[in-house]
Amino acid sequence: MIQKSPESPAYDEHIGVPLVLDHVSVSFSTPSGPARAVNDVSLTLNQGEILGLVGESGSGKSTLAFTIMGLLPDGAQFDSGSVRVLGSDLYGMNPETLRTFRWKRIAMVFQSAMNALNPVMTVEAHIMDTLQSHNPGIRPEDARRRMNEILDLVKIDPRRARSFPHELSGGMKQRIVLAIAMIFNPPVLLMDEPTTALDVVVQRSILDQVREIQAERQMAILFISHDFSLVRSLAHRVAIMYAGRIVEITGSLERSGPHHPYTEGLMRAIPELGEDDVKIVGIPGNPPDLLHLPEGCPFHPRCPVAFNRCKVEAPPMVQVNDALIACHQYTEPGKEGLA
Amino acid sequence: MRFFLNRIGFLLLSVWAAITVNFLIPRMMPGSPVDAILAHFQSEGAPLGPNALHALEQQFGLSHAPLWTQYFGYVNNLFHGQLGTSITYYPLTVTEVIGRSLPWTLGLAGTATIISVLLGTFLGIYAAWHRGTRIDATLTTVTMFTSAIPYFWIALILVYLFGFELNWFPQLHAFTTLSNGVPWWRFSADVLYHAVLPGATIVISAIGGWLVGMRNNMVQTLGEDYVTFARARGVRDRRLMVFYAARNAILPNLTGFAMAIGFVVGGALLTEVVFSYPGIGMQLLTAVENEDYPLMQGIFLIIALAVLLANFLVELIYGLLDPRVRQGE
Repeated sequence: MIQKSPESPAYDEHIGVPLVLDHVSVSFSTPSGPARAVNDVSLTLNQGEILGLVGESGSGKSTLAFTIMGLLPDGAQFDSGSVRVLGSDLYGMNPETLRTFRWKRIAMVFQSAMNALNPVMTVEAHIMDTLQSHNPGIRPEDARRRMNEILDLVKIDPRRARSFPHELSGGMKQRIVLAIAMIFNPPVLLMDEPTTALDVVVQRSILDQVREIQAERQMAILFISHDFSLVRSLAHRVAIMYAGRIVEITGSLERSGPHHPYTEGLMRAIPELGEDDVKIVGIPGNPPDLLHLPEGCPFHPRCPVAFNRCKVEAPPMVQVNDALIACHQYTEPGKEGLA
Repeated sequence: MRFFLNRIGFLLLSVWAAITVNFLIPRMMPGSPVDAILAHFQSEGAPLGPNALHALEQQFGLSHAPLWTQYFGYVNNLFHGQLGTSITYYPLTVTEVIGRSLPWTLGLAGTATIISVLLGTFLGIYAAWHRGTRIDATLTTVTMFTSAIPYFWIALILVYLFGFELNWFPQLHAFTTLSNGVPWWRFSADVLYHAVLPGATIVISAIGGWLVGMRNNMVQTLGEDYVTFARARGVRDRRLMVFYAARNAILPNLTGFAMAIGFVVGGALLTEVVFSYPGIGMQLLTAVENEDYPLMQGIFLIIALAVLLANFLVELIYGLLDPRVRQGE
């Protein structure tokens, strides 16, 4: 699956690609200098597609999600690049335009649904607040009808609308957050670890609902998770993030295909169901310190196949079969031998 | 409703405990007010006979009956509003003395406390919303500085500057001794005029705590996920600030409000002393100086009741403001 260039006007303006990231970089200012949490990320999310984004903790997944929402936390800075949602440049908007654009065109399900609801407000108050913020003149009966529709969509009894967050289970809260994200039928939806805090049964039922809703409305979903097998079962394509960079975007997560050494390491760390001889191999070393990123490819200190060039030059993304991979193995046919 | 009954029960229990402790403590102390008077007369060179002693004991309600009889008598008197006779202000009863001083203290310290709570909270919200800016830094630093100054010292400085040097405000008392027949509004204006300096003392020393407390709570709630989620949903800044960040930040401060409101009754003792303000604090000092046990006991009881009542009210408000508390009971 080859992406057309986001610069192509026909693609951009007429069809309106749900989400295009073009060389996005974000850094946090720290006392010991800027830490680049998102480093030159380019991504395209297509109509009707679920794109998985996988990476370990601290790889910049969530920062990337908040960057796409235009909700950078204190101390974070958008250094360069552009984020375009349906052709509109998010970082070129004034705050009021952004406020109304967000949630109607692009919404997000937060990582911590447990804390995403204001403890002193009922579910109904949250939903009304959202509707009224975008449509101040909305008639109460219209608002209530919409509320019942979306609660129905996530299979929550509308009587639950009177409840306060602490009266709901974790799974219910997550469904309600999902319902609130769906309230304006946004064409683009980000999901940041939406089921991490839930047990597998609840996780399964919520993911089934997500799949169902997605298939019905043909939304474009960016699904962020550290759970490799979960993403593999859900997403059409998967992007793998390491130390703030996308190191691979692939359509197939078969072990056989060519992959980035980091991806291969992630796959080795997961036992296959039905495998006779379960062997789990971890990736040696630790994720790099964003303040002191290694020169060249950030993965080279942990990489089993690294060679000299990896230490000095960051690899570009290249097309390998179905995948885009940033690794010198594929940029240079003749290896220089192990370093 | 269950929450309410629960709180009422707790209030009654603690009031009973306060009354009992208040009854016991003076009786466990060595000496009695009569001994004090006796010693007073003795030092004057006119010792009192046993008859006079007995008369005095009768007068001040002292008895040698068993403790529990005294206790029931005491509780019974309390229910009839009788706290005994003041020694300093004989023949006024303690109830009368407190009745005269309490309005002054409530008016001065009460108003000043409410002003500092409201002003401090609003400025704290403002500072937190503009966290990291120069306004935030200035407000926080200045109020931390003022709240670190001992408040009687602020009182002295204010008296010296505005009372003595500039002569803008009166240095002493709650009102000018005016001739009779002054219209009420002139009297009110006079009282307000006298209240400016002592009131300012309380506000200046108290506001910092409220401001910094509110600011820090709110900086924390501003970092909560529900605030970010609300911002993402398009909730407007004003609403976000008030109903999401401030609304949750104010909850931990409520306990502090309860204590402060309760202590209002205790009077800003040093402020009242510096300004010779005729409030409860001033009376407490007088009572201590004159070993006026009935008056002391009465004032302590009033303070204890005020703290308990304020706590009760704040807990009810807490129940209204925080749904988690209502259910938790």
